[in-house]
Amino acid sequence: MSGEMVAVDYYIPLIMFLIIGALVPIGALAAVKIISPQKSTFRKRSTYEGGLRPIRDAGVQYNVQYYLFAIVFVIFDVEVLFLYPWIYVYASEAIPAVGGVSIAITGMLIFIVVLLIGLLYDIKKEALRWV
Amino acid sequence: MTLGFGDYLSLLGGESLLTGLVMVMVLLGLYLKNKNIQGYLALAGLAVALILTIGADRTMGPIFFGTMEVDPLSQFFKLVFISVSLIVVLAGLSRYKDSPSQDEFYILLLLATIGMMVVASSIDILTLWVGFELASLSTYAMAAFDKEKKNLEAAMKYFIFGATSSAAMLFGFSLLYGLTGTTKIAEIAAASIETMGPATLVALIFVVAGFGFKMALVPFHMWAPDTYEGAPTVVTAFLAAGSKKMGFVAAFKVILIALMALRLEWFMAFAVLVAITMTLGNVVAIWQKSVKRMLAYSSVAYAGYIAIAFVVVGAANNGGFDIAVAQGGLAASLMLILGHAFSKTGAFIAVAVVGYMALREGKDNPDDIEHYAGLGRRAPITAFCMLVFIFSLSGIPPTAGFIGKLLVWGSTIDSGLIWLGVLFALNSALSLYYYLRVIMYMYMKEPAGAKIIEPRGYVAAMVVALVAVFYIGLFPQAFVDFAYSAAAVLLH
Amino acid sequence: MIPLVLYVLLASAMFAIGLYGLLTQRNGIKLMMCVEILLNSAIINLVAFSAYLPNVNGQVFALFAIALAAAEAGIGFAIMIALYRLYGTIELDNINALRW
Repeated sequence: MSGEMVAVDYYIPLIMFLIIGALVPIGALAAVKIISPQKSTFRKRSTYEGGLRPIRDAGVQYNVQYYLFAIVFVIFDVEVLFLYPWIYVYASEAIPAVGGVSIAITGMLIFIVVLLIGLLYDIKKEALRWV
Repeated sequence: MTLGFGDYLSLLGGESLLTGLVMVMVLLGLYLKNKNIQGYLALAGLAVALILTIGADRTMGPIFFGTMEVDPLSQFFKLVFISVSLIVVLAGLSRYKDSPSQDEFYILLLLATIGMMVVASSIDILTLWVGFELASLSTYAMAAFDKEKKNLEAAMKYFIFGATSSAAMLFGFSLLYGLTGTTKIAEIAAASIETMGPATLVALIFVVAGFGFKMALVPFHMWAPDTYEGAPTVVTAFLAAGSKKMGFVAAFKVILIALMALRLEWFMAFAVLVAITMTLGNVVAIWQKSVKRMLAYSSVAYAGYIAIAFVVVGAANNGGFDIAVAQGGLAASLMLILGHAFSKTGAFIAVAVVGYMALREGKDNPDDIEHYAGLGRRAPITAFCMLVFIFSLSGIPPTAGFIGKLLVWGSTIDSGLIWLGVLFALNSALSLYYYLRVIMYMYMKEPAGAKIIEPRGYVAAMVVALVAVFYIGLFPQAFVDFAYSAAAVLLH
Repeated sequence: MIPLVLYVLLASAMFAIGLYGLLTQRNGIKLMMCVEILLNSAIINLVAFSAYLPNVNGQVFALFAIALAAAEAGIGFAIMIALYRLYGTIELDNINALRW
């Protein structure tokens, strides 16, 4: 940075950023309002504009059990993600062993034990039992 | 320098102990029939963690590959977090006695405390964000804990605002990382001086927005009164005293360091924000019928008082760095945080006692100020504790709040921001109006019912907070020294 | 190779879309989808920067961000389901017990 700039100069690009940032969505919304056809017919408002008739109501109720399964699945599925970087480093010299114990292996063991406790909790609370 | 596991354990003893305790409590909760013991377990764990945290060596330097550090700043905040959570557990012993899911309350509380402690210790934006999220996710669940209509709505609002703010924060962090190529806060600050450009400012705005939500500074405060009112009262105490302080420690670590490095004239923007925050909080608090909501708005006002530190440091940084003034301003705001943590927790627990009383009598609107009529005779301990907490919050000696407010006021004068000091004093006077109204109701009005037996856990929690408030107010020197050494960490 | 600026533009656009959704939508599930879009825009940024710097920190950050986003979705859905059981709806306009 040249020493000539006054502190206020830093803010000019920022102010421009804010103005443009405000103008873009307003412009986009205004453009939609102006360009898009306003006429709305029955056919236009129906679910499939192609003319296909919807068979029944779209709001199907699933058993709430399904959501519990989904939540548990998503969380455990994502936790497995941490095993990939572990595989990448555990054999290499990237992480040193301290006092004869490899940090990579100890850390991952702690992680898996925590996950196991979580799994045990789910099982005991009957989150995984299909009723 | 590579440290062994033994060193980690002694440095982060509190965190390790609490993490282990959480796992034990999860397992115990699955097999125990009578879960009342869980609260005492949590209490004992927190007490030991408090001792370990005070005893930890504060001069070891960075650990965990330079992502965490144990220094006076982190220990100061951990002290606040653990004490607040200790008081809330004490109150929980009464609130959730014999409840079938009480173990989950304590587990979530401990997890949130661990998250806050990680934030206090981290010097890397990655660990900071992870700790922040751990604390936030636990408190989302805690806000919905009683599963009543109000709780769930409060939790819903808290969740939407909180998730948005953490996403904004992450976006800001990603830009900072892209601009500087590192995730260490000190290196980011150093590198942003060289690569200073509009993009750095944009990134900082995202980060400020993220932390601003947690701190409940004015443009981002909308969720706070609703969530504080709707959440179970003991959880509200934790949110106002613990979760908000986490926002401040994170902001001190990231925003303050980055802004100081950039040496911009940013402090006027913060001064305006602070002025609006404290005035709005106090003015809206006057109209509230519900004491809980009134305390929530006073909490917003307090966010403004504490954030005066940003302005003072900015003013001290403006044209020649006056390190003594900056240190004084930061230490003042740390003392205010300490005082506010104890007084607000205590005040909310007193509200919980009144709510419990009103609910037992089958009244709706349990937090309405009408229920405080004659509290001095109906529940003498609660009323006296509430009186002291209110004195502390409005800054009347000899309480912790007085020390904090005096120091903050002095720091605004030292840094030459006379108008801010005057506004601060005016706001404190304004807050007296609505605080005194509660006192008048408690001691001047005729009681609306018979004397009640105050639940023991609540009383214990309030007495602990009361002792802390008086102790800090009467013997502030050790705490002020601690706050000064903590402030020095940020300014070295 | 695709220039870095395109990735950042994509991420910014996603962030803007998510924020727009958060401000206009009133359905709980849609709000959660918008939050996910916000988080994913940040993750795109992190991975793109990480590849161009080159520096592995960003990818690690992205992994943590993905895991925490999943945990956040879990908590959010739990709150939504509890809300639905009490109110019978997750349209937030109908959920207004708290007012100032």
